[in-house]
Amino acid sequence: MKKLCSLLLGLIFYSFSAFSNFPPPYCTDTWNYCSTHESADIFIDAAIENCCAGSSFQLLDLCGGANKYIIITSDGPNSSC
Amino acid sequence: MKYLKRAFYLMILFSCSDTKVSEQEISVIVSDPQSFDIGSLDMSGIIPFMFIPDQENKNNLLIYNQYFRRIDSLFFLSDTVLARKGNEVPVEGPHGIQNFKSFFSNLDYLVYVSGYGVGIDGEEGLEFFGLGSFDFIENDNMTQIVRDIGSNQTFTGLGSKNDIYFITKNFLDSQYAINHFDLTTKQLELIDFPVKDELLKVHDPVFKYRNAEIRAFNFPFLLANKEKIVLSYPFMHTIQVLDIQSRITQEFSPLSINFSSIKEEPIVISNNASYDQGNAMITKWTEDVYFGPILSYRDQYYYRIVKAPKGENVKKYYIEVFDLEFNKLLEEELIEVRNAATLNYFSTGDDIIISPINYLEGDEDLFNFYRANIERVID
Repeated sequence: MKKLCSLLLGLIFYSFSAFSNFPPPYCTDTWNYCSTHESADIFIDAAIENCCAGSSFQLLDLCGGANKYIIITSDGPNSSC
Repeated sequence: MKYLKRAFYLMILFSCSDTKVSEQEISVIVSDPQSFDIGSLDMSGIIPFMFIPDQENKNNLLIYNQYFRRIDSLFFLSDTVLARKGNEVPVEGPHGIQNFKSFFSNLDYLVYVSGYGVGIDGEEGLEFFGLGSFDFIENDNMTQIVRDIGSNQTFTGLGSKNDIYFITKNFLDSQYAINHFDLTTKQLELIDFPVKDELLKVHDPVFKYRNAEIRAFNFPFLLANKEKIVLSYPFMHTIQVLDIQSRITQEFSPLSINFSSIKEEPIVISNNASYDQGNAMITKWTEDVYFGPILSYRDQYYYRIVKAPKGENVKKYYIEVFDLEFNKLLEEELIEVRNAATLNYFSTGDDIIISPINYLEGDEDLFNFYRANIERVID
């Protein structure tokens, strides 16, 4: 369980702390979670705030719920695009 | 040119047919449950990982360790699985790459495929070919390489050593394209392929949420080898096969006994629907029948695993087996994995590996799996 949690929490911490020329990793990567155990909403909201238009990332629900492909259609208000 | 096009479509029309039932009798033998200590690589048995079978011995897998950004190895022997740590994938420097969705080695170099292009890592460093650098790709930041990775995170588009194939989607007009990238000439070619664009638009459960589009995976699956490109769809039974040499496409519609041939269409929701309404629409569509990716077994058969619609608290998975001409040979429930929350599967050189993931149960240091084999029935 620790690995799954660290994955999700790690990227959220990263989103508030990183100063990088590259987009935050959650704007482009694949992330795993369990819908019966935790919510992906905070994750999606963070991406919407911080990612650039055209960014896309994937959420895999390991507990059998819907996998999601999310594409950002306009620059997020906190993005550095 | 007009007549050529007509002739081409006529060829497709004549080649479309329901899959015949073959007289060849086969059975699928599933092993007892097995496991190995994936924790020795500091990985988790419940998190899917990217991998690619070694080109020289497909029982050996190169796997991407996302925790340590390493390419490690797994060796599937007949009675055990060995694991070995490998080299780090650098983020920066001449061989550095930030993110990628698939990778493989063609023995000359390591190749990374992201949503936005192809990175070729040779002796002198990594060269990245973005989709936007090719003239015929429109809206390059909204055109992306896509694939449903829900059941399998391997790259299945390696046709031959220097030819790779992948699907792109232009998210502005919802058009799909099949692309061929030549690793020698570094050129991208658009392949004329009758992708089911209209059905893909219907079966595209998507809703707008703030400045994002949230959708279920409905992307087609692509499997390539030296002779063929096989395209299938997660929401219906149709299989399309392109002969790479002749460029003729055939279409197959294998009949099923235990599940419907297509999902119900997603519910139409209004543009200002809430997140919860959108999520419910995606969930309903997802819980309907799901056709997993088609894979090859020992170059003798094709197969895929189909998830039947969720019902009466029972989740059933069926394996469909086809011969090399896509005659359906078998449809059988995989009783061993009944009620698995999610299921990953892939082929090694000798076996089909079926890995049920039960996130809330068991030891995450163990990778649990079954080996399945397709055998001819001898009277």
